[in-house]
Amino acid sequence: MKNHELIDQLATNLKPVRPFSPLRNTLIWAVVSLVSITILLLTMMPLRQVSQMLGQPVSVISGLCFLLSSVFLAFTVNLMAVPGRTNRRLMLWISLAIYLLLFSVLLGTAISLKGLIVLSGTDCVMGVIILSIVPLIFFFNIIRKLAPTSQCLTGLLLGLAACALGAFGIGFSCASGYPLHLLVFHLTAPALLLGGLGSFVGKKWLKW
Amino acid sequence: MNKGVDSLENSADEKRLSELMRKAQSGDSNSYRTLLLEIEKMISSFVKNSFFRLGLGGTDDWKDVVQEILLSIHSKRATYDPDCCFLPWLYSIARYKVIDHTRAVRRASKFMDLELDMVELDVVHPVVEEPTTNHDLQTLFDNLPQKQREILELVKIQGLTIAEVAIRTGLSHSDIKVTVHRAIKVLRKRLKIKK
Repeated sequence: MKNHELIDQLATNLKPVRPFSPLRNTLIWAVVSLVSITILLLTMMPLRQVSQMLGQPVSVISGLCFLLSSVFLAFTVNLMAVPGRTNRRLMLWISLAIYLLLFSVLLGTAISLKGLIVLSGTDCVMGVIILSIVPLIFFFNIIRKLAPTSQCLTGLLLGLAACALGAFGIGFSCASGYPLHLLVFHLTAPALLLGGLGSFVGKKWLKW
Repeated sequence: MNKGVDSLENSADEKRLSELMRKAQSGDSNSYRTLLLEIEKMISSFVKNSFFRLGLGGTDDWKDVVQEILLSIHSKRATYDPDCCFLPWLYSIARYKVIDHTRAVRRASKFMDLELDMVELDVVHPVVEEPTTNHDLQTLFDNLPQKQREILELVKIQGLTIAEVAIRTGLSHSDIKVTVHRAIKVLRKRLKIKK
């Protein structure tokens, strides 16, 4: 088929489209994901008392950081799904900076406390992954319709965004406020698993 | 980077194309047709130059890539932000498709290297098959397309290396390997049909 024939075909019966908005997409993803996490927490996991949570500053700060990190990462992923955007590196650095800040705060706090205690945390890792599944799948479905030019990196960040939201959610269930526990079982282990999974799936599934 | 974007925003081409794209997003077919016809020339030039720089200049694959880019622009037109510049969006898509095609060719070329090695092994230690007359082979060889015939003769009959053939013909290494592979495939197919 010649180019002008193809162009005629594409231009005939052209349907209007709504321009994509990264902010709108991010908010939709965040709301749907938080709703799914809430439902899972209420139906499948024991919940902590709010007063207990507020009594552990490390839990509160890490929870807020997870939430912020997740939203910034999700916004970055939406920017990366638009070819030619010029401001996505800035958002990427901000998102990763929040993640690294949280990592450093937890590590620093853990080291400064005498007697490093690490409780068994495989349940927490599983909990984060379970809470992250719906946000992860939903996010992949949104981004597949867009045009990400770096599939591996987009998948990785997508995995980290879902993981951060899952880690925020597990904070309402996990009674441990020990920084090293949060660092290893809420942050690092799930991030490695979900980031790796996101990167692997992204390479195959986000091609267009 | 911002100065470049500022000067781009002010260019007449950018303004005109952005406006056409905005109208196209709202369903205006005429604007969309005008836009595609204009950018088709830009994309063709970009793809041809990219292919030349990447050593893929000897093939007509650039035409397929141009059509893939046009199809991608159509299917992903919702991702264009009307408040942003149009040309970076366009060239990002074009660059992505060119890189994608280059990776596919290189993957196929690596696979063909392995096949070529196996074919060469076949020549040195041939599997005993039914005898075929030299006349049959010569006829089949003469009926190959000119490019395939010439390259196959240089590589297999005269025994030149891929690098030597590349210097002589001005084609890229991957193009030569692909041509040899296709020629052998055609010969095998035609031999089977003859039997």
